[in-house]
Amino acid sequence: MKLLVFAHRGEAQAFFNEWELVPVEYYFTGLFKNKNSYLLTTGEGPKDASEKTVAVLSSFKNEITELINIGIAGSLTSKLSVGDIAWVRSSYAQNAERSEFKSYTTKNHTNIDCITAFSRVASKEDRKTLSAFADIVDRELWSIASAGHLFKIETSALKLISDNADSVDMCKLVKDEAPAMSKKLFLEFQKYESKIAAVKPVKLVVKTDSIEDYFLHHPKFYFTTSQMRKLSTVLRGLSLKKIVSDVDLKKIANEIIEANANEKTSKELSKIFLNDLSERLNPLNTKIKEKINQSLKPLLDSGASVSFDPELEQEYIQINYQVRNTKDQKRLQLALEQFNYQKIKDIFAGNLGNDV
Amino acid sequence: MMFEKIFIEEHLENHPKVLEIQSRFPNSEFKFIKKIEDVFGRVKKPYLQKRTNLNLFIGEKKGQLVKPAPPAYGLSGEPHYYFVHAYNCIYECNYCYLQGYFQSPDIVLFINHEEIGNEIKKLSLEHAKNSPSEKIWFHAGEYSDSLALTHLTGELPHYFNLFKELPNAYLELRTKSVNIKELVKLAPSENIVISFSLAPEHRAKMNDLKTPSLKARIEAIRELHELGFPIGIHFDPIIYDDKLAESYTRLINQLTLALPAEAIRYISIGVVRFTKNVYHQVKKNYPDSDFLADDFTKSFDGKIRYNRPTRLWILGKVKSLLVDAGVPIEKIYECMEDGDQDGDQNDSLH
Repeated sequence: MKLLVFAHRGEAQAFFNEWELVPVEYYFTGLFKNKNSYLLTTGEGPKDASEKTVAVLSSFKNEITELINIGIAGSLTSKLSVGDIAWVRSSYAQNAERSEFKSYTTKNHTNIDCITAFSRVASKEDRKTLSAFADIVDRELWSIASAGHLFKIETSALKLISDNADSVDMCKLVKDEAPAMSKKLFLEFQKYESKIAAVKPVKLVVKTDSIEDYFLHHPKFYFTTSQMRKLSTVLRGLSLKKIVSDVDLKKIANEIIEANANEKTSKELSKIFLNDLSERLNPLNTKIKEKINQSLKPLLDSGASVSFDPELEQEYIQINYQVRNTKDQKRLQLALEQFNYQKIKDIFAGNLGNDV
Repeated sequence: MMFEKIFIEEHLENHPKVLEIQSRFPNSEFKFIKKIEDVFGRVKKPYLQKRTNLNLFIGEKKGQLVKPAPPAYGLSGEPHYYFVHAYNCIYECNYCYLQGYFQSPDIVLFINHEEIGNEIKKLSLEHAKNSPSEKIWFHAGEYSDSLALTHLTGELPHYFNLFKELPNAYLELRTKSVNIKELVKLAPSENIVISFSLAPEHRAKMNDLKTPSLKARIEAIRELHELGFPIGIHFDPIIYDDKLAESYTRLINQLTLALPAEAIRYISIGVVRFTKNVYHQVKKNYPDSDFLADDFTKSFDGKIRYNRPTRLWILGKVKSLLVDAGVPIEKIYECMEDGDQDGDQNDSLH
């Protein structure tokens, strides 16, 4: 469902005329619905637009997938004349003397930017200030786009130039022209709808997603939640680096399954598979870790548990060893004598040997 | 190149450079503003909007015009300063810190070169007095490319004349551009180094978006070297891949065919790094960049880098390739990595 947001009923008049919209019983008036869309009229200004859009998105967020602000705007540039119509690119805002730093980029756009003024443009000086930031000025879009951003709903805005933002008296004029303007907005919106409908629904198949699904649903694998995240990251990485094809990924998985199927659980197989993929994605890291582990061998052979910074950023090792008798003590002493910390230092200094 | 709007500080309305720029861009919309900061960076303009809607600001740089450069900036042992006569860049390197620095991709040109020059002169003379045998360095291009717009900005003769008077002072002009037509009109100067940022061909294609090709850059290097301009080189940022050694070997070969190793004035090497904010912007602007699949970690200074063994291995590897190719080791410096210390600058512009 789309949520179409208008400031004034006049701007939405053609939509009421053409569609069978029924009022939705809600906390405030102005919300209507037909089978494809919600239509909301908020009243003028960013405060009402923000409050009402947030409220409706909050209540109907499971149904609403697209947010569109439709309405009139004043032109701040000579490149746009009264009657021109445009999908907005970026939305900015001006609150009194201050520009709001945040901006929102909309989904379907031309190269027209809009600035939402928190108060009506009352002077040529106001117009000049606003024109530095955008091509058109309205009173609501930034608030509506902000609400869309909050709910992670794609937002776009269709604006019809009603005036040149140079006179406060234009309100009456706009009121008089409302039916014609609304009709124009409706026709442009219909064009947009037809364009969307004309594009054959193509199921977007993201390569990594499809292969990800394949492994997630593979009967021999069981991925825990964190492993699922890791799988997604690693597959995305392999795809970006174009290291392994999907066919090869399946081969790798089959080889792991064949080699381990009888002795490993599905969870263990997933772990082996993920480690294999990580090694392919970051072979240098794997070599570094192998080298560290080789250096730690005397300690590990003594039964000590040894860890190092998993991020490979801080140079240290941590030894955990339980001494229960003098034999344990001697074993540790021997291991420490055989262990050469300089090798760890060398690895952290980037001296990785000739085989890298 | 086309600027949609050109904002000019009101007091510069009749400045000859402003009039010249106005005549070059008759189709742009001109707006006069009190000061650049009234508009530039006041709202967050999406970075990639530079592709379709780039604005230009012309004004005067205020505040401290010449600043001390961060540690590990240039060959060590000499004082380094940088000066800013522009913000932002016409190129689109996908690792560039400018994505997260100014909150706007619009180009800003400061035209008070006289004032900047006076400050450089003052510092140089003071330095000559206090340390007569030591050089002092000034770097341009900290927030922009030093050559890319010189046909428009026209400041090169001013700085060339200035540095003629300051034999103890050295100027570095950093670039990825091949826009050398203004430069070749000038006589080379021993104390003005043109430094080019280079990356292996496949990396330049993948990462240095909208920049001149490696081949073109090397051609520009050859031309300038033959004309007698001192040349510096930056291998920065280096991005890891499994072809790193081969690709840098090839790059060094290509480079040294145009510029003999012994003629390289200096060469910096640095591994890719990001502030947290810039890394976030890179993910947003260039989500398909292959290096985003690399294992980065928060390093000693909070910046996002490869882990320590990896980055130090990269630096060591490239350094040894350079030495093998005949570049004297004392001409190689590690940028922003010396002893794991770093400055407060954001990096990875060049």
